[in-house]
Amino acid sequence: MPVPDIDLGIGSGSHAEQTGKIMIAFEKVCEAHRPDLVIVVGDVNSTMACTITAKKLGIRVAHVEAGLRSRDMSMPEEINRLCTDVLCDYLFTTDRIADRNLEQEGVPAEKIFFVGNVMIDTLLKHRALAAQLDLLGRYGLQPGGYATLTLHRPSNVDDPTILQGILEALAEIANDLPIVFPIHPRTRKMAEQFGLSRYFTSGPRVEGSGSPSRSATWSFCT
Amino acid sequence: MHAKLVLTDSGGLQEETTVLGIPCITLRNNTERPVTCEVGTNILVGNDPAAILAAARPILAGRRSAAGCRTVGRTCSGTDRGGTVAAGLKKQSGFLGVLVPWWHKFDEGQPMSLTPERTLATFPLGHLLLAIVAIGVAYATIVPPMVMDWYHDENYSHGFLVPLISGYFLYEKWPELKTAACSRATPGWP
Repeated sequence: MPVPDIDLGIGSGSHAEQTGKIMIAFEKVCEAHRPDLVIVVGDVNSTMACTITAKKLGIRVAHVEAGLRSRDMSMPEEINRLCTDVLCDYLFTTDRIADRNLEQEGVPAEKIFFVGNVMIDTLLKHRALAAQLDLLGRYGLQPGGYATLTLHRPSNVDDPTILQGILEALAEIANDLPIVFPIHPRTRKMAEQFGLSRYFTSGPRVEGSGSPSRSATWSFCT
Repeated sequence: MHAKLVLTDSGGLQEETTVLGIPCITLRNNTERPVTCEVGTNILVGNDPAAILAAARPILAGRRSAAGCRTVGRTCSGTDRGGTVAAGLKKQSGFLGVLVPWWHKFDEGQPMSLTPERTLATFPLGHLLLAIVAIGVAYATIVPPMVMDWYHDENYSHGFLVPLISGYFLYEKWPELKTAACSRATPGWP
């Protein structure tokens, strides 16, 4: 991926802290460059923060991956999605269910554009390249001979009883099939805090190819 | 890409496994991507250990269960008719090229929850006959006097042409009608 021309350099923090910092920094960028259109993607804090900032400056905003709804207001992402979609001028959707969600919320049909899924396009485009990395060979895995796990959601990892239950189920699966687990920092921190690290066997540390956010410690659950 | 099974609580992986045809067990009670349950490989199980294992066992045993919205706990946040979803997925570049071969790999039971829309041609004959009889009963007291009016009153004599012309239109449009999707109108009219 090319290096961005402007890096807001926000980093992590609480939701409000992060959202506030993004809005302050992005407002300066918008005032300096006066864009005709701001394009936001997904459902993260910057999606919502940049939408609100741009819209208040009278700049039109387009949302890629609009209309997704879990109807679960305990998810911060759901709040980001709702705030973003209600403000945006152009809503690009990935499926017809999303179109209908937006229509039901009163979004005029002329704002909704069913365009397909950029994440899937990216996946398909980079499949061959990913195959060349020979990650399986590097970790001694066979095609079809392992499972992959990602786990990071607060509802799953922030409660010791829930996390332990999940890890026990996973340990049973791992008896039959090795589980490759690129562990999220939050999950690692929580597991350590609850004394549940025994469920992981540390695997080799790998750096993702290029993107730092993809690099992670891979562990094998036993 | 070569995993036998993916377990996740993230969003994007639910879509990616659907496209790659990898069974996906989602450790959440809901999803903002219900399409992955409806036409894809995704199963929602929440965070109950028993539910996770119940979903994983058939996959570990090599019986790939990758069909339909098999949700445990709460259900998908939305639904859509299979046809529309398939049309939507088709729009994603290159999608069908991946989906179709994968789709045919499933030879056990229903490969997906893609229910074909019901048409006149596929409508159960018994139901159709019942509908015709019901219409007959409803109009039994109206039609004979009406036909007598056509016969006796020359102001209404053109009435005999109405069934003929209607029949002709029906005949002309039959190929379209036969394959048009039937939809339900609960209050009795569209």
